[in-house]
Amino acid sequence: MNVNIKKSAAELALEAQVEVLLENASGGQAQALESLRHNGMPHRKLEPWVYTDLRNLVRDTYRPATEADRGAGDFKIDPALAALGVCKIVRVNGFLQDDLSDLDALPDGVSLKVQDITAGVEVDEHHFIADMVTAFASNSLVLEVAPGANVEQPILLANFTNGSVPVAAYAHTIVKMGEGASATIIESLEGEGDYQSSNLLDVSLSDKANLNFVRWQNEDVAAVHLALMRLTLGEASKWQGFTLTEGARVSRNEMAIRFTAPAADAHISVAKLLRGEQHGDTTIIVDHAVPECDSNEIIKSVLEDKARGIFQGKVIVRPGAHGTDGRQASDALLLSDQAEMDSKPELEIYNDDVQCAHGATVGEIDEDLLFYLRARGIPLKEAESLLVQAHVGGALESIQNEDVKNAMTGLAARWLTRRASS
Amino acid sequence: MLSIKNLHAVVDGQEILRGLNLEVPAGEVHAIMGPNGAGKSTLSYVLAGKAGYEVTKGSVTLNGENILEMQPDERASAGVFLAFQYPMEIPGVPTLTFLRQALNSQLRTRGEDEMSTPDFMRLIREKSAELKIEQDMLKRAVNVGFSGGEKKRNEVLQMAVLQPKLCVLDETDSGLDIDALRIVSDGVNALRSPDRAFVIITHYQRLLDYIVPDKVHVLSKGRIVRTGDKDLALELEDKGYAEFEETAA
Repeated sequence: MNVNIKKSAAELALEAQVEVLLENASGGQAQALESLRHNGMPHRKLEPWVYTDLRNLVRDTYRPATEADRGAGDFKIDPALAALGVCKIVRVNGFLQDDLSDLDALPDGVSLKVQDITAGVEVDEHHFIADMVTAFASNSLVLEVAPGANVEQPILLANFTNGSVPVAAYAHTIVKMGEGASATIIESLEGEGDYQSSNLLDVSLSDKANLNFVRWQNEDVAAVHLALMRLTLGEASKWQGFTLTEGARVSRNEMAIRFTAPAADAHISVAKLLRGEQHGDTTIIVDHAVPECDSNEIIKSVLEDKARGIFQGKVIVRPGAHGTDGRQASDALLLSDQAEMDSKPELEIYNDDVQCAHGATVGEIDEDLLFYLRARGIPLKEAESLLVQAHVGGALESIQNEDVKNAMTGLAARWLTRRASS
Repeated sequence: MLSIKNLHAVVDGQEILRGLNLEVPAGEVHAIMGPNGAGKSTLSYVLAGKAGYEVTKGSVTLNGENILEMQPDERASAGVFLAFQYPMEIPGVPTLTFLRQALNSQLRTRGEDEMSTPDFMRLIREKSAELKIEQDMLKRAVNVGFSGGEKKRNEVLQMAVLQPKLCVLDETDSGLDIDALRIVSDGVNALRSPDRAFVIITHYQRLLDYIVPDKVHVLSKGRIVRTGDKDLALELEDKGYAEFEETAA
C-alpha cells in the first residue's frame, strides 16, 4: 500500500513555483530547483529540523518579490546604526537600491558588484535555505575587501522587506576578505508586514583576515525569516560574530563554519530576545578539520510569554584536527511559565588532543537577586530588566568595536524597555 | 521612628516571631542579640519584605506609616535599608550602574528629581573614599569576586548613598577581620544622626565595641525577653544565652 503524506499549503505552493521556474532554468539554479522538487520542505522527521518543522510553521510560500514591490516605504536606517557613521549598502526585497546606498563612497579597499546568482553559488551541498535562495534570488551581491586593507568605517548591509503584499524576498551575499584584511560589517534585517525573507551568506576569510560581523535580525513579528551563513576560515584568520535576534514570527539562523587551514579563531555570540509566540532557531555547525583552531559559541536567550527558543550546536573535530579548542554554552532565561527553550549541544570528536566543552542552562530570574535589587528601591520590572540585561551582556561583551557594542547594547535595552512599559 | 507591635511571622509554616514588640526612636541605635534560631534574621527579612516571610499578626510602622503593605522597593523608598548578612553577587551589573539605578528609583518613587551624573559621581567619590573603596571596585559587577570585607563595605556604601531613615544591619560583623570591622563601623557611625535609627542584629558583642548602642535587646524564641543598656551585651558575652533560652521556653 502506498501512503501519501499530506502536503501542506506552503509545500504545494512551493512545488508549483518550482515547476514553473524549471521550464527555463539551467546550471546551478536548475540543480537547486531539482533539489527542492526532490526534497520538499524540511519537517520534524529530519534531525536538523526536529524543532523547526517548516511544514507546520510556514503557512504559505509567497511569490518571489520583484523590484516593483519596493513600493513607497522610506526604509530608514535605525538611528542607533546611522549614528555609527556606517557606509550603507541597502537592499529592498533582495534588490540593491542605488539611491539608498553609499555606492560612490565605499571605503578604500572595499569593492561591490552584483553578479548572476549562478556565478557564485556552491551547489554541491544541498540545503533547503541555500536551494531556496539559489532557485529564487535574481542575483548575488559580492562584497570584497582587498588584501591588507584595514577598513575602519563599519559597512552596513541593510535589508528591508516590504510585505505590504505578501512576498518572499531572497538575498544572496558573498563576502570575501582578502589576506590580512580587516573590517566590521553590520547586517540588519528589517521589514514590515507578513512576508518571507531568505538570506544566504557565503563568507570567506583568507589567511590572517579579521572580520567582525554583527547581525541584527529585527524582522516583522509576522514574518518568516530563514538564514544560512556558510563561513570558511583561512590560516590564522579571525571571525568575531554577534547576532541579536529579536524579530520574525518564525526564524532559523543557521551557520556552517569550516576551518580550512590551521590556527584560525571563530567566536560566535548570539543574544536572542523573543516574546509573544515567536519561534527562534539558532543552529551552528562547526567543522574542525585542521589543527590548532578555536571555536567559541555563547548563546544567551531571553524568552517571554509563549516564545520558543532553539539552540542546536554541533562541533565536529576530525582526526587531523589536533590542538582544537571548541566550546559551546547556551544559557536561557525564561520569563514566563509558557516560554520554552530547546538546547541540543553536540560534540563529535575523532581526535584525542582536543579541548571541548559544552553546556546548556535554562532558568528563571533568581528570586534572591531580585529581592536584593528591590530591597535597594528598584521596582520589580526594572529589577528584572537589569538582571535580563546582565544575562544578555554575556553575549554583547564579545563585540570588539566599542561604538558598535554600545549600539547593539542600546538595541537590546530597547527590547527590555518595551517589556518594562507593557 | 520604628514601631513594632505584637509581631507574629511564619516561615515555611513555622511560627518564628511570636509577639515581638520593639520601639526604636529616631537618633538611636538598638542592638538585637540572641541565640541562633531566635528569629533575628527573620526579623530583618520581615522588615525588608522578603517573599515567604508571612506576617500573621501585629504591625510595623515607620514614622506612623504601615510598611507591611508595601512592596520591598516601596519600603526602600520609604527609608528602610537592610544590610544583608550575605550580600548577593550580581554578575553583569556594574556596581555603579546598580547604585545609580537604586538611588534614582528611590528619588523617583518619592517624587523627587533624579540626580545628575556629575552630582552622582561626586557623591560616589566622596562616600567611597570614606570607606576606602577603590574606584576600580565600583566598575566591577556587584559583589562579584569581592572579599567578605569588600562586600560588607559595599553594603555600607549603599547605605551612605541611599541615606535611609531606618538601617537594619543583619550580622554585619560576620566574616570580617578586625581592620574591616573598624572601617565598616566607622562608616556606620558616620551615618548616625538625630533623624536616623539603627537596628543592629548580631550574635556577638564584638561589633558593639565599635558601634555603641543606646539599647540592647535580647531576642529569644521570637520575642524580646530582656532590654538593657550597652552593658547587657557585655553580660551576654560573659554568661551566654542559656538563661534566656530557658525562660522563654
